[in-house]
Amino acid sequence: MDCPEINNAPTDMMHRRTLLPFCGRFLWLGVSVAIQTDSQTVLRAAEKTGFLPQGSCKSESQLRWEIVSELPDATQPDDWPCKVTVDNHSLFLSMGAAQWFAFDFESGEGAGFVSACDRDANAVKYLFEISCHVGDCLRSRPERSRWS
Amino acid sequence: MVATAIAETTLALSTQRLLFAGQPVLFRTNSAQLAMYARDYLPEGGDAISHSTPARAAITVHVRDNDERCEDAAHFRARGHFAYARFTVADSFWFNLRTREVFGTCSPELTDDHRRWRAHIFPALLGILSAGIGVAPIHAACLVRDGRGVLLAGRSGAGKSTLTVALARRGYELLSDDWSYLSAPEDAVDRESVQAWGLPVPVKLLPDASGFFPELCTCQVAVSLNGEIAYEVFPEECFAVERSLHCPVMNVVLLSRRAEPGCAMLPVSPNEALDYLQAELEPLEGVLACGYRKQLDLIRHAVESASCHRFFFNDHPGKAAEALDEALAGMS
Repeated sequence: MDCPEINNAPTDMMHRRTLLPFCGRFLWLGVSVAIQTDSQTVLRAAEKTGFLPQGSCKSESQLRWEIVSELPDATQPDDWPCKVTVDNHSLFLSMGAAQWFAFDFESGEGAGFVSACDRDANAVKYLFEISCHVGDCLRSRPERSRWS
Repeated sequence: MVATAIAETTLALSTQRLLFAGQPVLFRTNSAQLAMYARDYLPEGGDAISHSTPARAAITVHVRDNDERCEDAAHFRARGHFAYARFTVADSFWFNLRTREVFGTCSPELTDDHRRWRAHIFPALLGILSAGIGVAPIHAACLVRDGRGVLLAGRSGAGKSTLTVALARRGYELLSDDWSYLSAPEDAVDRESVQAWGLPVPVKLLPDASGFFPELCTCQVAVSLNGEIAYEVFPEECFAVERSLHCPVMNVVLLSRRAEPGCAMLPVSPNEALDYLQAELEPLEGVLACGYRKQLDLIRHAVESASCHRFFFNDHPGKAAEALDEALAGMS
C-alpha cells in the first residue's frame, strides 16, 4: 500500500508541510527536473510519461517540483478534465475536485496534489497533463533559455 | 482542454486599490457586483492606477458566463509558495505567493451570494495572502476601548467568541472574535508602528451561546466552513455593537478555563504570551521564509509593547466579561 500517513499539525491547515521522503531526478525536454514526493507511484508515473530517470537528487536541478499524494476523493470521476489557467508568471492546472499543479515560470518551481494511492493510472494521467501543458508553455517562453 | 488566459481579464470592469491590514492590495474584476462587495468590505487605499506606493498584492476575480450551481465543496491546499482555495464546485482561486498574485474564477450564482463573500471567501483569500505580504494572522480575538487594543488568545473552544461578544455588549468595540492581523508599514517594523487589524466577518458562536445571548433565539445554526455547527452572525446587526478596524495592542490576555467557579487574572511574562501566539503561526520556508520571519517580528513587537496576563474563568460570560473589564480598567 503506497499511501501517505495523514499527520497534519494544527498549524498546517492547508497541508503545506507533508513530508516528501522520495525524490527522483529526470531529464525532460532537455532540462533536469527534480520531483520530490511522498509516493513512489508518482515517480513511477513520471517515468511512464516520458521523464527519463537521471539518478539521485543530490545534483542541482533546473526545475524543482513537489507533488503530494493524498487519498482519493470519492466524488472524483476517473475522467476528470484538465482546466488550464495561465498568467505572466504561473501556470495552474486543475484536474478534478482535489488535484492540481502550479508552476512558476520564473523560478522553475512547481507544486501540486494528486490522488495517487495505489492508482497508477490516475497518477500517469496527472503527470501526462503536467507534461503537456507545462511543456507547451516552456517551449513558447523566454525563460526556457535560462534552464536549457 | 479548457484554458483561461488571465489576459482575458484585461477587459476588467474595475480595478480598485483597497487596504487589507493597512497594506494596499489591487482588486480587479469583470463584475460590478464583486467590485461593490470588495469596496464595502475593505477600506479604500487611494487611486488604483496612479498611487506612488505600489500595491503589495493583486487579486483578480473573473466571473464566467455559465450556470454552474454553487454547491459547497470547500478545499484548501498549499505547497511551497503556491496555494489553491475552493469554496464551492463553481469557483477556484490560485495563489502564487512569490509574485503576490491571486487569480480566481467563479460562477454568476456564487457572485450573487454576498453573505458567502463576506463571511468566507474574502477572509480566506486575505488570510492565505497574508504570508506573502508581511501580515501576521494571529489566532486571537481583539477588542478596543478608548483606542487601546486587547488581544484575547485561546485555543478553539476556549470561549474567545463568547467573551468577545460579552465584552462588546459592555461597550468595547469589536475588531475580531477569532483571527486578527498584525501589520506595520513596510519600512517600519517596531513597537510603535505595529497595529492589529480586523475584517468585517461574522462572529462564530457555538449552539450553547443562545443560553447567554437571547438575540440568538431568532437565528439558525449552520455548518461553518471548518465543519463546526455554529451561529455565524454579524455582530453589528445581531448585537448592535460597534466595530473597530485597527488599534495598537496594549494588552494580551491568554484565556484559560478553570475547574472552580469564578474568575482570576494573573500576570504572565511577555515570553509566555509570545510563545503562545507564535506557536499558532504556520511556519513557512523557501521564498516565504522571509515573510515568516517578519510575521514573528510583528508578534514579538506587539507583545513587547503590551501588558500580558492569563485570565482564568469559569462563570457566566456576562460575569466573566465584567471581571475581565474591571481588571483591564485597573491597568489603564
